Amino acid sequence: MKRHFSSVLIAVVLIITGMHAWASGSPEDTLIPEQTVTIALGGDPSTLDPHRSFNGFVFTVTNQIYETLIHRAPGGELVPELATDWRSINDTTWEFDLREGVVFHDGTPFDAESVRFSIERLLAPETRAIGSFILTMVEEVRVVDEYTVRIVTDRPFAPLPAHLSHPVTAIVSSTAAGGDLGVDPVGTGPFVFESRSSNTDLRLQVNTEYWGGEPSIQRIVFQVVPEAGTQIVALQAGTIDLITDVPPERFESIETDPALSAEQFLGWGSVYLGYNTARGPLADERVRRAIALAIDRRGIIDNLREGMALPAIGMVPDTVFGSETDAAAIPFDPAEARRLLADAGVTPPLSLTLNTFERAETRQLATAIQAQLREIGIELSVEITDYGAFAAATSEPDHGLWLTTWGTVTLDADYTLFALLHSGQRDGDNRSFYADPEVDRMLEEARATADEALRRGLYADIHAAVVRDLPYLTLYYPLSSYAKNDRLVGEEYGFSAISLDLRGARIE
Amino acid sequence: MWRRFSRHRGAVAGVVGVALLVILSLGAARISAYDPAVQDWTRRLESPGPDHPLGTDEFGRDVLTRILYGGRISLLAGIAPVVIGSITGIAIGLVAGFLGGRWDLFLMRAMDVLLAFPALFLALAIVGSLGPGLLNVMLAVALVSIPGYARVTRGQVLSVREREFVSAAVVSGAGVGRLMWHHVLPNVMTPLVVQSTLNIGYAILATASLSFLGLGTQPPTADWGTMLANARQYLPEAWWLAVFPGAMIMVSVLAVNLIGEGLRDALGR
Repeated sequence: MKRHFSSVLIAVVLIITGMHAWASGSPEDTLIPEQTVTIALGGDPSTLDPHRSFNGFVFTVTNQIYETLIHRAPGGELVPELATDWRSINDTTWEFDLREGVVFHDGTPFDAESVRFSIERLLAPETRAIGSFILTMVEEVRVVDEYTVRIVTDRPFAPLPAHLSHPVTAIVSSTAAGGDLGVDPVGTGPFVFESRSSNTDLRLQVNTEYWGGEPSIQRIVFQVVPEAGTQIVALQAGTIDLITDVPPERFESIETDPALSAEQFLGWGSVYLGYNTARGPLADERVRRAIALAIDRRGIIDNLREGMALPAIGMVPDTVFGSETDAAAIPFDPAEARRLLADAGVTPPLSLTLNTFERAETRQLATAIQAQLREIGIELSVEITDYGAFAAATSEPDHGLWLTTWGTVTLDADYTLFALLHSGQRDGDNRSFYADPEVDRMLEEARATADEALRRGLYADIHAAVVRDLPYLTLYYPLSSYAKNDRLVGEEYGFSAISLDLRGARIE
Repeated sequence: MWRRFSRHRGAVAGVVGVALLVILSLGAARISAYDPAVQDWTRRLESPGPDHPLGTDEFGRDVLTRILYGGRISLLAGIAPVVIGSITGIAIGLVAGFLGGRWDLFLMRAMDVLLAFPALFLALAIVGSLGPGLLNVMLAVALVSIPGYARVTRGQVLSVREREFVSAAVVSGAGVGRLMWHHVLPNVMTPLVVQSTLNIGYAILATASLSFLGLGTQPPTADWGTMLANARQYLPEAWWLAVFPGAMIMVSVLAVNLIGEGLRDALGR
């Protein structure tokens, strides 16, 4: 009896499992995987209003929701987005033909008025846009007809199309801007804001009416994961599909994982050391040069950054228009550095401070530079603080050295060189307090002319002046990187997470 | 009392542990041939081996050497806040408890304000406003420990104040200062000694926590909390960077707490 019972039991089990296999067998082959991409964000986007921010985490999200007149393709060229064509009418006037038949997510039609509204909103003092400097040269936005707009600048400004590809110049719905775009963003982009729960999860869904055709990806989930190590664990576990800025020491382990892939490439970034050229011992060019000679930049790239950076001579990498051409690199030569310090009448130990902000990369560099300067008799006191305290400290007139990262987001050298070198920017980003009338003149001339050869020549001379006067020492050009789960295909990753393009992507 | 203390096995282990830590960190320069700040980029992230018994860090610095030198900071960070905090707290509690009235009301309400915040958050806020650095961290940890001392002292003082020997001293014409210093204070010290000892462990942990959050020591010096924080980044490939400083924090806090417990038992509390 007992045996009989158990054989019945076995039979039942076999039948049930067999039925289950039959029921679930075939559909699996044709089932399309859920078209959701989960992306890790290293920080919390404070707002979703592109005009009210100048932050990479914000732009990473807003660039999926909003669009700009001109798009920066992954290859670096400027291609049509909301503008289909553009031309320079005269020195100070640009004309843009706009794409027809585009509607915002709230149903408002996109036209020349939307462009005028958006640019005026960005520039309006009451918007308090930190990024308004991108378009301060704009004097007037003139609506010619429904789909033609002219932008008049107060001076000739060659890089204007590049500036109009910057995410801060996003075109917003004038209807929705009556409310709070920071919470309810409305643009024309491929993805529509869906929801935001607490501070860690932000969802977008596909824009079925997208002018470029509905993307395959149906949903993007942004998850705020501040720690790089945690991001990598989530990527390996399959709960996150894409992470950006892979730490050098992890790159190889991701690359060799069969389910993941990682890419590294030259982006638009620079990492530089700034000198206060106006006050203190650093006002002496020999002291600045001694410091430059004492830092083994090649060794930093090869060892500490594990090759994930390129050596730098000028201030912007080769991806940027107007990068340096043939200035002589400053070598690593501690003996010469000591000689220069003695020449300058410095009796070691010379005490200096170095300010930077808390980040794995800046902490590592500050510690390395401190150890190398000790070799030539400079005692560096390193102050690593949060970004706010760092920014406040370096705007003081008597600060010393500082270490920071910079991105030439417009891919035009004007963006970086004007901000960091022009004497008129000394209460802005020119924390070196550098002032050279000839460099000022070249900067002004280069942004005023559309002649590319002339501009290249001027920027080459400006880079040479930087190597000569050393208001800044570029340590290297970091390689940008991202890693993804291989089930995500077809994504285009331009120069940083800001330019991630998922319009042609899908989950396999 | 000393006999009872010396029979307490835990306490003896604690004393041995603390003595060992003190000897190791003060003798760091004799024990290790390396300089804690000198970098050798050709020997980054080496696992423990004959040259580097506890391995090297991301700059090729010797981890053992850095732990020994870091011990000086961590032990100082354990003791200094306790000294500052206990002296201030005991003084406040003594005045509040002995003088009573408005003094009591004002001082103890001020202590309640401090107690209203979780200690570590308060310390975080204080360091946040003073700026990062070891001195500020120690001050913050000291400040948040004051209310604890003040309350215990006040409670003790209130019971001692009514005892006959105090009344006798009052009758014989002793002044307020003399009464507090010679008659009350010595008789309230016992529980405070225990609390101070236990607080050393807490202070080591709190300093390590604040350093872990990037508010403590600035490079190149490193206490154990900072070492632990920097190790996070290299955890999958260099376990030794996290394990050894973590073990040192654990051992030192354990040793100090064992002494504290031994004292408490020996003093019959």
